[in-house]
Amino acid sequence: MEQCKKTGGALRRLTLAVLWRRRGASLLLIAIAALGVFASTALHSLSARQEAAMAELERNARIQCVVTTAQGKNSNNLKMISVLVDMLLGARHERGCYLDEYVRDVRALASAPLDIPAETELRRILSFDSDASLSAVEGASIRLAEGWEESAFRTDQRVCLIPEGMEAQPGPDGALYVSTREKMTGVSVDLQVIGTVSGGPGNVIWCPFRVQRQEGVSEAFQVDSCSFDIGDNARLEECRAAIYETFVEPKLSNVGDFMTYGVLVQDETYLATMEEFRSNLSLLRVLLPVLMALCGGISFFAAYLTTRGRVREFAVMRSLGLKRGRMFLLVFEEYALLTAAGAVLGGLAGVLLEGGLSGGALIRAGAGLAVFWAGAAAAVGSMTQVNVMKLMRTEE
Amino acid sequence: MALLTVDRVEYEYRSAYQTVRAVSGVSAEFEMGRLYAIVGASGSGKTTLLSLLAGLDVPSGGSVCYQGTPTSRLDRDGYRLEHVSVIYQNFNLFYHLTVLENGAYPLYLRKMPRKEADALAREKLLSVGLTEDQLVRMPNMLSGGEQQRVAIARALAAGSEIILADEPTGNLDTENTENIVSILGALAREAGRCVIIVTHDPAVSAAADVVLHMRDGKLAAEGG
Repeated sequence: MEQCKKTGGALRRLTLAVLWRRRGASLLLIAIAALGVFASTALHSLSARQEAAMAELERNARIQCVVTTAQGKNSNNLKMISVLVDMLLGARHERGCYLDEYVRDVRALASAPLDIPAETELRRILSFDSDASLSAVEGASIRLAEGWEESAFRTDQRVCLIPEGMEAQPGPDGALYVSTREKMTGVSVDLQVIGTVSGGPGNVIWCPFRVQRQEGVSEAFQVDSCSFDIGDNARLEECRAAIYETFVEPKLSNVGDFMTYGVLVQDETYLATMEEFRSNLSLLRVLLPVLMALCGGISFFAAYLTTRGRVREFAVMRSLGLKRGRMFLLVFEEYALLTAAGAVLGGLAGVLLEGGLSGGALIRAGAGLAVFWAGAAAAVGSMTQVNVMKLMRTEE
Repeated sequence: MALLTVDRVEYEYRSAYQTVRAVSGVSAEFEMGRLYAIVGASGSGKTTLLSLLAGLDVPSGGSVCYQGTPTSRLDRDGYRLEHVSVIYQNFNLFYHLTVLENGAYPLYLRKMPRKEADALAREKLLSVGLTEDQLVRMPNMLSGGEQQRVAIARALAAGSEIILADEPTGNLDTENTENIVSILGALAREAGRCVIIVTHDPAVSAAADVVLHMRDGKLAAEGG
């Protein structure tokens, strides 16, 4: 056993010495294997990045839907009732009529003129971006009192934002209040001031969309504009169908005044980008096996071309009594070592490209190496089928 | 008993286009301690006969027997490894191995430890007239005569009892030819090996104990 190990060591050392002496060809094979494995790793990495970017887009892209008039116009005079907004917000689950599973970030605005304070307007909002005049882009700046957040506008608390400089009265609890009265209905309500708006319109008070004006009485009021985002982009078609069914083709079960609306789903950019990702991924998925086959072919030809000039050497080995199988292993070992070295280098370059070692990178380097070995084995196998009699006859 | 017996041997080379009968009905015996020369014109079948003696293939008819056992029933790779060494006209050395590694190669194949193999190969290489500093060179840095000595030393190191030489002096000048013939003669007569040389060279055949003449694949006459 020890004897065999030493002998194997002698031949292996000889193999290493020969590889060093043929270093030009050796380096070429290492470079080919390294390039092949790196290209395969890079392609895999690109494919993974595309998939990640696609998933990220699907998860985070905001597909805006705007409820329009029946004529398809996005009007600030939508005349939609607030019950429909309740459906969007999921406030009507008990009646089997809701959409909050399909939508997110609902924005809605309803306005009413006030005579107290004089010549002002009350705007009900669900979030700051429900009203364009509160946008920083429009020059508005909102300052909330300590302890208050924007989420207060999703509740039914009697709070409000007022324009900077508007007069407010301190209440018994020390907080500031404004008294309001709707011009059309004459209903009065005191609202606690939780913030101010500078740079916005000077005659508007903003309160929560669902603020109760009278204790214990829920009301249906007119909504001027409504928009929201698709809840789950992966279920875009399902969401779209549910939204269309509610707004465009309402059933009797949908509580409302049976008016129909239009819905503008702004998904063109999203769909085009997703289509581009899918197309890129399909191309990459085709390229990967092609690259693998190419690597196998290159490995075969590289091994074939470098072994072709060694046929006489193989014949001499056979005439010295070396068995065909052992000769194949000896010669294949040379190519296996070189391509393994190349795969390690290519794999390392791939790891650098990916920014870290991953199981996937190892599997890809292993797969690349297996393809190279298969190509080299085919070439070595064919070239070591040497006919020694023919060689001797050539001598004659 | 003769070491090698050739009995009514036939051999044909077949291709898609033609069949060439290279050896036809050849019978002969080869013993230890003698130098044999097989002579004949090109294409007379002498190299094919040598290849059959080396166990590179089996005859299509008749038999080649080593110590009474037909080579067709032997492990012919093992037979070549243990009992036969072949010396070629073109030396057929490994040109990416040093002279010493070439000499020791059959010993590596026989699973001899590297140190022992190198020591034995060194001894044989020096015994055929190569110098110590030539042992670390590559074969293509040596002259033709020196390369043929490396091939002979490789056969010597292998310790085979049968040494087959195919035109071993074909590429050598007169002085080197005499040296090689002298070494091969000594191998047969002093070391007791069975040496069989295929040659065109009258100087080589003149040194043989037995000369076999081949013509058109047949043994024409035996001299000696």
